[in-house]
Amino acid sequence: MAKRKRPESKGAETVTAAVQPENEENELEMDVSDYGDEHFEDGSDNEGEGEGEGDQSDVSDHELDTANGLSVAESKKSGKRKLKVSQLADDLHNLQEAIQLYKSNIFKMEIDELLTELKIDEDKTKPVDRILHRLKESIESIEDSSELLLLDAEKLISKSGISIPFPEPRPPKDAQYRFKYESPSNYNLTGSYMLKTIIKSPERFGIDVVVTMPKSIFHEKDILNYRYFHKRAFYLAYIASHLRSQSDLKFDLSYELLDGDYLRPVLRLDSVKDGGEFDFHRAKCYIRIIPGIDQDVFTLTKLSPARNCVRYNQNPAESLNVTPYYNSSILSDTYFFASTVFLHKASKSCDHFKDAMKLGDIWLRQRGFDSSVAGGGFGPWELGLLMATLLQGGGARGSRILSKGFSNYQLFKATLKYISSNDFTESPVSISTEPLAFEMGVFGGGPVLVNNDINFNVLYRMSVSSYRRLRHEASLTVVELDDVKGDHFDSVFLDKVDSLIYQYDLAAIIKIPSSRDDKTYCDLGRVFSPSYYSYFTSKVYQVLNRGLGERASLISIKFSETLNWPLTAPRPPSLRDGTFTLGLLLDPEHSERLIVHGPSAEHNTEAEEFRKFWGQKSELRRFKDGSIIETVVWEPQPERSIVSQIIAYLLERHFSEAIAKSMTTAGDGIAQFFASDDEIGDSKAFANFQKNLDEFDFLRKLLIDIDDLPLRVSSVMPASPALRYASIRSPAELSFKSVHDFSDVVIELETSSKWPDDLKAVQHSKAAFLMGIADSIKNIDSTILTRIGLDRDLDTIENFSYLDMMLSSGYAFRVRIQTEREAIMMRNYKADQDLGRRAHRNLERDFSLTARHTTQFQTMCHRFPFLSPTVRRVKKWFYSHYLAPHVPDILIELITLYIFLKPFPWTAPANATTGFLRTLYFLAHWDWRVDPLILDVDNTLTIGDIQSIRDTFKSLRANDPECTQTAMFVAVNYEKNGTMWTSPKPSKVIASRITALARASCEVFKTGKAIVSNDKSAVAKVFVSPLTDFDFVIHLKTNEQTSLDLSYPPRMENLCDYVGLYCDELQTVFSGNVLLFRNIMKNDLIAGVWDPRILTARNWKVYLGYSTEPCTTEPSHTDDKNVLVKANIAAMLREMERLGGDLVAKVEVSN
Amino acid sequence: MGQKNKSGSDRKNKPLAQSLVVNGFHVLPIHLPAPLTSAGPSSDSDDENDFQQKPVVHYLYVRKHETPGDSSPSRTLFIANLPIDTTTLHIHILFSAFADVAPSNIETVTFLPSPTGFSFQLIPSLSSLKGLQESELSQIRRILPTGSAAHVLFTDTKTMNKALSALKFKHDAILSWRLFDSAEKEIQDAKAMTGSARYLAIHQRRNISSSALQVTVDRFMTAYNKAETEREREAKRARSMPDEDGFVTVSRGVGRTGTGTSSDALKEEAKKRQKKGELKDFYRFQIREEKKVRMNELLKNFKMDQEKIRELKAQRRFKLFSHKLA
Repeated sequence: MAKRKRPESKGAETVTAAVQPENEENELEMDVSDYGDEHFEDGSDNEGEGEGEGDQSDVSDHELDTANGLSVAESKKSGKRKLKVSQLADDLHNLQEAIQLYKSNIFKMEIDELLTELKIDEDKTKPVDRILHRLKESIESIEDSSELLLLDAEKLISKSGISIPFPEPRPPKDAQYRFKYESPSNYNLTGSYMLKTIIKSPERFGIDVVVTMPKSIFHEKDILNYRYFHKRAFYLAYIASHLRSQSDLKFDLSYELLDGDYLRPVLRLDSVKDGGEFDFHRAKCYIRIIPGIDQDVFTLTKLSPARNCVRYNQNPAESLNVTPYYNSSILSDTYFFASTVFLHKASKSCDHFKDAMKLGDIWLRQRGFDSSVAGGGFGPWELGLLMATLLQGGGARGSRILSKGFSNYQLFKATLKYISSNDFTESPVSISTEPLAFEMGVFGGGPVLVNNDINFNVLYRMSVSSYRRLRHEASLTVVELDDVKGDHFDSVFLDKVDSLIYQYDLAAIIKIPSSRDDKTYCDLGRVFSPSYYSYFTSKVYQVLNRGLGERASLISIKFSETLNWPLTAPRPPSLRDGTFTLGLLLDPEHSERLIVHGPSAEHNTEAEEFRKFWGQKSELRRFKDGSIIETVVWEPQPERSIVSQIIAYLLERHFSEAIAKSMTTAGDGIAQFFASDDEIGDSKAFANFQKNLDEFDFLRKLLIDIDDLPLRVSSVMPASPALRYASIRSPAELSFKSVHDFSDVVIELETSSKWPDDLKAVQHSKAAFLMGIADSIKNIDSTILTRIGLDRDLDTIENFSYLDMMLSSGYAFRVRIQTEREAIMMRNYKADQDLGRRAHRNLERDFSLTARHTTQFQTMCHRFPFLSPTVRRVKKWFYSHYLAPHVPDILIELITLYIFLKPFPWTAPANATTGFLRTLYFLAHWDWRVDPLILDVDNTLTIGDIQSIRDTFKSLRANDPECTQTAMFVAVNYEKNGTMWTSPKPSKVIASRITALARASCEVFKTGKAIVSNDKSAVAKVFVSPLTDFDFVIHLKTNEQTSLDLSYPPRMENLCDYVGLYCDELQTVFSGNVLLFRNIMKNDLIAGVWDPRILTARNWKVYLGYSTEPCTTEPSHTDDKNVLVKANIAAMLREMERLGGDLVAKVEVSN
Repeated sequence: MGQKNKSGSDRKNKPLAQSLVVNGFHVLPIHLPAPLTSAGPSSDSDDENDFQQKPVVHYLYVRKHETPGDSSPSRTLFIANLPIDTTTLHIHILFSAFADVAPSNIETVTFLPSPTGFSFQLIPSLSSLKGLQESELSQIRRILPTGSAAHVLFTDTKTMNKALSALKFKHDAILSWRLFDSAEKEIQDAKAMTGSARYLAIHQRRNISSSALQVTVDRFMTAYNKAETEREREAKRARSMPDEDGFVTVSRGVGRTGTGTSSDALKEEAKKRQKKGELKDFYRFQIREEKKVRMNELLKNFKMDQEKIRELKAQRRFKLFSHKLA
């Protein structure tokens, strides 16, 4: 058993260990001692298999370990049989429990795994406890000071070279109250560290030590006019000066604002890295010394949020205002101990409370929340207080929301659900059923959470915008957790949600002016909001919230402040200018509306108010229904969305021109790049798609009405990107410059038993039908041009014919016939089963499935207004990187659609640039080797469907672990096999290249420049593939004239896709030896990469399948069988060049 | 590239050196000239890296062709690794140039299908099209897959041997791969057979007149129908005619079976099977079995989940803050 002592315990067995306490409690089903035994057998079993073991040496299980030491040895001998039975029972029990208490079994295991990962290394924090003791001794040994007036106090402190961190406003020079230091009445460890709910993270965490200032140094009136805070600042500085003078206590001392509260500085102790007695840098933490007071120091009712505590004689009217923030700050100092006790009690009564807090912590962190003002004023501590409150009440008539028996997951989820479904700004959270002692309004519309009898609002630092954001995130997560079909573990806990460029539909960085320049930031403003940043941003929020209305579903405002400064330096004023980031989630239905409707002119006061808000922009308008109302009208601009126009206008009107000018919108560079693009930037794109669809409908009717053929056309289906809003170039009138401008259409004829029994004969009959259709159309409408065409050689079992139809409006369609019969015949093609199967697959893919996809994608483009522009941008990216020949259009469309269907942890993009960035982000992070993509377009996939798709994927990978056949796997409702558009193209090489290119593009965005400064060259980089990546590049002569010629009917030469045919032929001739890349919309070059296998020397064979040269040209007299050959690259390039003839301008070979 | 130049100069010093033999194949180097354009060499020809200015050597591998088991003297040469634009004419010129074998001494040149089985199906071949108009009859040169081979059948063994022996020694100058002596003709040929002219021709071939296609389709269907009736008659005959032993073979009629599909049949079958099914939860042992199966299923899933977690762990998925966004 010596081996058992090894500390590491990894593997699935930890799962068992983690749930153990619950089993012990649930004595109904389990015999505790028996449980312990089998537990050990787990271990011994592992030992036998030679794996690492010691499965349950979880820290909490020490006692159990030793207690069962003997029984292990015995049970080990008792054979494997018992072991198996008991383990089975154990597993089953866990399973049942997981299903009842968690989302799913795997979700539970993931949570368990996450929690182990979040555990901090207790070994490393061990020295901290000793240091805290020494610190206590040291502070207790500080001698009391005498009662000092302001000047003397400052003098005393400045002796040790440090300053007193007085908050603004500083005490008046003639202040008559006296400062005094007396030994703290208490010295307590509080906070997360005390509670052991700290989670591991790269940032250092704070260990909070509260020194309770004795009542004797305060006066009843000290709650007025900042006197409390001034005395508190002196108290802190006094401790600081003392600690600084003690040479044996080596710390890095600095001041810090507690949770960003300007009124409450604390002393921060960081470890020095000298390896000495007080070196605790390995613990990844710092110590905070926080001055607090007992609850009996002041009359707490006077500190109720509805009372006034700051009085200025200058203006008696102002003195009546309530000072909730100020009051809460004082109350907050009385609440450290009480809140810790409150949480401790909750964790004692509810086993999983702490784990739930940790889950909440990680959840909040990923979303950029913490307790500080800048972090939204809602951190794990606040979440814990909310959860503890909900364990006691919070429901209707004081009923409990959470139950003590909940699992960590249930606690977490129910709390989020509570946040999302209750508005804390309307009705406060409180244990008691009694009404609050103050009005909700005093917190300026912010949320209220009160759980004690001192009327302290725990969420007093939380702004309205941050609260709205919290609710938004909570409801989003609840949706994810409620979704039984998906796992979503990653997006709930592991993914970083807080991101400027990916999270929002519109994100901007805007300047915050210096508070000195702001006349409105008077005494009152300061009392209400001691941080000018939060004062300013909350004003911006109010203006934008009103101005944007239903255009924005979420307005998020964030800023960061310096919270930390050295002892010797004066306190950094909150005056300096800075920036804040504005993030908007837009409502795609409303965001680009041109008109803002105001009140009717009859309502005088409201109209007046409306005019005041909008300024010159507002005007009276008469509408069709006769109403005359105030309105604001916006002009659509290609580069600027309506929303950003509104923001800029409002900032200028309500703040200043400089601030409005300072706004830089993230992704603007990309948006402008697209706006200036000939194809994407076409503002009439949507109308053109619509026109194309209308023309298609016209054609459909025409075809269905044909009645002079042996069989009638039964259905006409669209099967082209241009008919599903997804082609890069929008179909425009008289535009068919190239073959790409024909929209594919699939038609079906009524079923008949007269089709021949031979596939070739079927294909010929289909051609005959197409000619018949052409004749009929000519008779009906002679303005429609028809032309028959061949896709391939006629000696084939696959479809070879199509019919081009060009309408006089300029829209062109390419019609092919599909018959049910040929599909069956291909599947049962006896002559060559392999050929038949391939033909059948092609038929499925190019006919019925493309048609289905087209219809579905059309619907999706209506459901998500920004899907169409996004997918066209994403395609532009793919095409720009010459990937078009290797990545089917439909695959790109499906991947983009996935971003809209499963946007978690975000919401479906309501901006094409955001959609584009997110798609790239997804491509950069999608590990297609292990993750299949499953799209559920109309929410009809069942859990069983999803499971079977996963199984398909699994067996696919099991059979082909190297991904040689299929790299990406994309399944959708109408194609559950998942490989129709991903196999054989894109191959593994191409898939890896997509990932690499997407990563490189994301990297450009990440460095921020491209996004924030809208650097156009950096943006352009995202769309340029370095040609050095390729082995060779065939530069083509670009043929200008064809693109300009718009003659109608189009000339044959103009419709010839020279480069396409050339490239296809090259790829066929050199088949597997080379991969060719090109931009099918541009035809400027063909780039190629050789298969690296042909570059190595090998023995000569007749059919190596590529042109070779001997490695040596020295003849030997004997016939040498060992002469090696390698690919003759130069000759093959020359062959390509010769074949290209006048199309080729130059061949470039990279070294 | 440099290597090749050097070997070229070596060759000049030792004119009658033996040629390289690889695995029984004589190696015959030939020059692949750059495509000649009427515009002449491009202006930036000074460019060192300009690929077009460098001589490019292609290697043919030639051997006597012997059919196993056939003892009669062979008249056939086997040539491997042909350039992709090889035509019979190229072969003729090749042999007349280096072995002084007149084209009339070459009976046939047979290009062997590539074992990879790829043919450019995208070009509708003339052989399958009928009734083409004059303008549609343009020849589109067949391009071989890279590394193709051919059999060259000579009129007699002697000429074949003559050609073969000429291969054994290196020659002063490397032959150039071309059809005509005059550059002008060569340009004309290239213009017609490659580049835009070629692809326009292919494009035209694919957009044939409907009258031509009509003729093609009609002919095919007539032939097909004829063959079909023939087959039917044959089958009928076979059904009524007693064979040598006086038996009549009973066979299925050629008549149609309607539009019923095989998938329909499968469904039907499945339905039948279901009907026959026994009661599932009648006996106690059945219920117990069922329960056990379900339990095992659950357990299996549990194990699978555990496995998955282990995999995720191996991928360090639970390491937070380390990946993704900055």
